[in-house]
Amino acid sequence: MKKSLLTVLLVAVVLTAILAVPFASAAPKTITFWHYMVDRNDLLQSFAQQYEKATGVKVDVQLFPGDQDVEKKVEAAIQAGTAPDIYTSNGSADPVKIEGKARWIKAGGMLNLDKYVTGAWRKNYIPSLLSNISFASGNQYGVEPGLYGLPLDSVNMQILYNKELFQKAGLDPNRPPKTWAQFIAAGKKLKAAGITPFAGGFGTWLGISIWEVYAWNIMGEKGMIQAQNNGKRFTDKNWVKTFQIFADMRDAGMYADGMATWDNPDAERLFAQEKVAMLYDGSWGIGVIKSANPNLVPKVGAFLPPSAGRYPQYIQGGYGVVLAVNAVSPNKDEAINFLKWLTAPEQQAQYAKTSFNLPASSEVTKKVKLDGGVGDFADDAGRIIPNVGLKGRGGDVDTEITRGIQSIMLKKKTPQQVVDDVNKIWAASLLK
Amino acid sequence: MILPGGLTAPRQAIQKRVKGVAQHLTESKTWNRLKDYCGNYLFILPVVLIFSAFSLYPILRTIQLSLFKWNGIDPQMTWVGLQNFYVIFAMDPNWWTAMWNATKFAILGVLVMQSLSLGLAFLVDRRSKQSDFYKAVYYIPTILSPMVVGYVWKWIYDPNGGVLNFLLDKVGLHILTRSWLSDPGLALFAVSAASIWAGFGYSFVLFLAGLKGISADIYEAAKVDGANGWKQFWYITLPMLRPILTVVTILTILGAMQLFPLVDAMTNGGPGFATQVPVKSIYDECFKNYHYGYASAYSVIFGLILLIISMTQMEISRRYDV
Repeated sequence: MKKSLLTVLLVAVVLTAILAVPFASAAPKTITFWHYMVDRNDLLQSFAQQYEKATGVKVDVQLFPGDQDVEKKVEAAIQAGTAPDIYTSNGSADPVKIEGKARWIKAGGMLNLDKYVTGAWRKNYIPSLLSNISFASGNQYGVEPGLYGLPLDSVNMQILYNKELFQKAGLDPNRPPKTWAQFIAAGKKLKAAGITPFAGGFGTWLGISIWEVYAWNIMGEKGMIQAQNNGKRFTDKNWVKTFQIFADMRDAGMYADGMATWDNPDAERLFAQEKVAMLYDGSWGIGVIKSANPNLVPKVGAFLPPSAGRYPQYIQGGYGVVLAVNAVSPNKDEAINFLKWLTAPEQQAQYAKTSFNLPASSEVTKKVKLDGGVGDFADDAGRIIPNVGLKGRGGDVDTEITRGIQSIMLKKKTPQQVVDDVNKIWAASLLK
Repeated sequence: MILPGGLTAPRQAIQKRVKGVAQHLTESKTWNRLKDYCGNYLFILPVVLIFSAFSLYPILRTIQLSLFKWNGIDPQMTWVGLQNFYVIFAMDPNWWTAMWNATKFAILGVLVMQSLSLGLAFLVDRRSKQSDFYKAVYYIPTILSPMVVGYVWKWIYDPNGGVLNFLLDKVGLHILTRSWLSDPGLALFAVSAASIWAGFGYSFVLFLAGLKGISADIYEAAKVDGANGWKQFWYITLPMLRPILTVVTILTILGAMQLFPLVDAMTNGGPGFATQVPVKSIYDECFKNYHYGYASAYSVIFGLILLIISMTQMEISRRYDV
């Protein structure tokens, strides 16, 4: 009795399995999409629903908060061969990040999009943004030349300022400083009026970010190449000047109290509370201010970091969020189709309007009206530090630069001492 | 019938039989012993396997990696021998800054945290009715995530609207207000204070348990002999707490040496390298700079230092029969 019952059960299971196969294959195809944008999760979920409705392909949108944390998660997944079909990554022309991407590509984690992104799809983009996520032929990383991601938006970094506080200090709110001398003079005037002049998250990456702007401005492309690609490091005596700017700001009393150990949100909070007149931040900062103090947004303007050198004045920036496809994914084609749909001008316009981020598409930039400070940022999208194939300095060298800037701010080291320390760590880094 | 060897036939048969039985017994004894051995080893096999997979293998792999230059993802690793160790000892001043900072954290932990937790345990022990309440209150910070503690204390220390400066201002001590975490001379002490607040509950509970274990009769006898409170503490409490004091001291040192999340949340190792600690250096070298081999060499050196401290603990425990 028992035996026959078991046989019947077994037959039932086998039959169910056989009959279920056609239904299973008829189930909607699913692609997995990892992203880190807490503020844009609802928008991406809504895009996924729209896409499933239009194509029948389900997009499983998975949120992993934290742009730095998700980078490590993706890296680990690539190492383990469990990376999602499509994912977001962050970055810029920062050589350390480019080097990181090269490692992902070699491990099969990023697909070369050159043969897919062509014609109108490619023309839709601001060219400088694509160059930041492309590898040229003969690149130093030994990566197959091509485009390895598509920007979902763009960012650039400038100095935000509070026009009302400028006015209170007797400064013209519509004529922000253009030269280094004007900038320092404005700082002194604000300080004299009892207003904290300047804030930035110099405890983390913001210090080295603005330093790099001045490194290009003071040393020029040739100087950068000499130092980073030709092994000269910071031996040219002019490198001291790139650190002197922090001493100038310190001597003018411009720094907000405590900012040597701040992260960006600490500085953004102070600016949103209208307790500081200027903030070094990215275009995303407008969105942050909007959520914290919407009344401040119309009073905010943005200006380029004032020139202190004789070379062109570039700014940090590039793609904000980049979309990459897993090269070894079995759903590669479906992931590319979704990428094409998501980066089409209609979806990009919806994204820019809803998320308050700068579009990566030149067509959308022309169509979507961007107000106030965001418009100022958009005007300078073409000034981003060029991708000239600089070799990475190394994370430890960058840490030394960041900590050196902090030491200058606190009068613990001179610019010359910082240059010497950086060179020492750089020599050691080459052996690590 | 007499047989060669002087044995009679039945005796020989008996002896043969006894020999056979003895051999059988010996064989079965060996078999049983073998079975016992195998059984015992079978019981500890899961633990051995788990230990090998999750402790032994990572340790051996770290030692192996410390001899290579590797970025963590390339299939190719470059053999560099002891170069990573040479760079640490001869070319990397920041490693030694981090080690010195860890030592300062350990000294502050031992001096301040031990005194605080022992003092509080002593007071609570005297008020035994409320001891459960205080145990719970003092232990709460210990169960909080270090990152949460870090962010809370960062807010307390915030020079622009932080609680500490606000209170100092309110009580007329404006002169003492400052940027607690951005002052290179103060940052380490400020982080250490947060670390002590977060960790003292654990040693408090251990000390309290030790104090509860000291018989009241000893104190009574001392009182009869004319010992005052201080003498009782010095000649009875402290010697009888010595085993716990030893364990707590070593645990405090180990904990302080391995401080990381608090530093990461509060100062990120800055300003400059004023609060840089070894675990943060290892983390940064590995996951930010992608120097996996170099970070492994850091880990090997740091692991050896912790091993020496732990062995000292074991030796002291053995001597004092803890």
